[in-house]
Amino acid sequence: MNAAVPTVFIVDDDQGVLVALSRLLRASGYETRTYASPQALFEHHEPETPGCLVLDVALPGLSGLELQRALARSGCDRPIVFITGGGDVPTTVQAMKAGAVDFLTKPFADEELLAAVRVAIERDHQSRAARAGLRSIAERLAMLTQREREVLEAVIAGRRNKQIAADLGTVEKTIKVHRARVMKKMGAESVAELVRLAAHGGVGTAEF
Amino acid sequence: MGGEQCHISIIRDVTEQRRIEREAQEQRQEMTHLTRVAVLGQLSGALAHELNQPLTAILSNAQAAQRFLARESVDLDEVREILGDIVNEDKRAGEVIRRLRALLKRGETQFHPVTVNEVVSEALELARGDLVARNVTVNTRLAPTLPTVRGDRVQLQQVLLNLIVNASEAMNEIKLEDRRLTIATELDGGGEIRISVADGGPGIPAERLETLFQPFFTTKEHGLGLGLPISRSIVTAHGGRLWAESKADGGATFCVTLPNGEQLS
Repeated sequence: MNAAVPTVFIVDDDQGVLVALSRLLRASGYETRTYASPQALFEHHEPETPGCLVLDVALPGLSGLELQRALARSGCDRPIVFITGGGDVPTTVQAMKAGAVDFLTKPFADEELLAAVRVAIERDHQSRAARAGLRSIAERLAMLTQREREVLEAVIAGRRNKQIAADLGTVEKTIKVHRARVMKKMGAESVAELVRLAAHGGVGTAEF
Repeated sequence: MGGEQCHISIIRDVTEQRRIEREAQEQRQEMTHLTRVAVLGQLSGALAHELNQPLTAILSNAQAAQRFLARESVDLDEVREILGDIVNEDKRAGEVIRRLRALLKRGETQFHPVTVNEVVSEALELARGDLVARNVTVNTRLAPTLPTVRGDRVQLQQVLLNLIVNASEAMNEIKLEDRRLTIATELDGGGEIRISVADGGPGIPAERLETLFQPFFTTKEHGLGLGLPISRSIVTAHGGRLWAESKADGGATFCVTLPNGEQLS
């Protein structure tokens, strides 16, 4: 398995369709995993593997829309390309409102599916990058000492070193040292960047 | 009369009567055909789905093969496998059309030995897409060895299809997980073949159990009210009975009995 190749998770209760879609996507350079039912996907689900879902709407047991909701509840935002046998407008609207990438009516040409999958995988890539960014900010924030955290909050609130020193009952020189350590630990080159990182990490407010 | 022999001859022209009988028979067949078309109309969405599946598989397989063939090193085994699947999917689509055509064909009633379990399976296969779309779980309890019945396969299929579609529609208002349809076949105490179609819907009030079978009685918004009367006339023409039962704990069961076709003649 190549970690750099995105995986397409396909769910369709029709074995013939499942195998055919898997071949088409493999022929186009994707890894694939196939599942005959939403339950099977839910049980062997790999949230850490980058990629998207191709999901039939009319499935026995849990429907495609229910699976979409269940995945969202479990915190999985893997982008979904829905495929359907009939053009059921209310279902389409519901699925798109809940964040589906596209809704394809069977039978569809390879380019339609591949275009939708490309968009879905790009969306997954971006949300993973954003999440990784947030995680890294959270990790950096966790490295700050109690005092450094207080200094950070004061800095992004726009207080000057002298004021912070007075607030915290210490001298300006000590605050400068803390401040330098905060910048280093957060990996920020400027106050502006520090404010941005802190805002993404949920510290202070984003008003600037 | 004086002991003399005498003959009384009555000559009656029955041409008119025969003509009326023939017309009635033709009308019955026409109605049977029309309701069959109506049932198919209800199922058309599901049937489109049945055709869409093989068509999707064929297209994606063929386009996958084109892409595999465009590569520098071609895996011929894979391409061979794909072509095999394309052939099978095409047969599957052809089979859907064949079944449809058989149902749509208008024709004289033809009585042949018919295996009831096969009729049940074929009707379920035709209704499959509709059942999946309505989230109905199907349980079948088919007796493994049953005598055949003498009958018209397509007409019996139509009766089953009608009962299955009705049962599935009767469960529209109930929770998804309770939408169960149970179809059973058995040899009953009287030596007849019994088919029962049971749903988990709200059941039928006792006073309606018979009115259901009257023409133009319908609870459906778009129903013709002819499905059950025609189903009953088909079953009666086969020497059997069709009736409805409502269970105390909810749900309705429609029962069909047909004479053992191997003990007749």
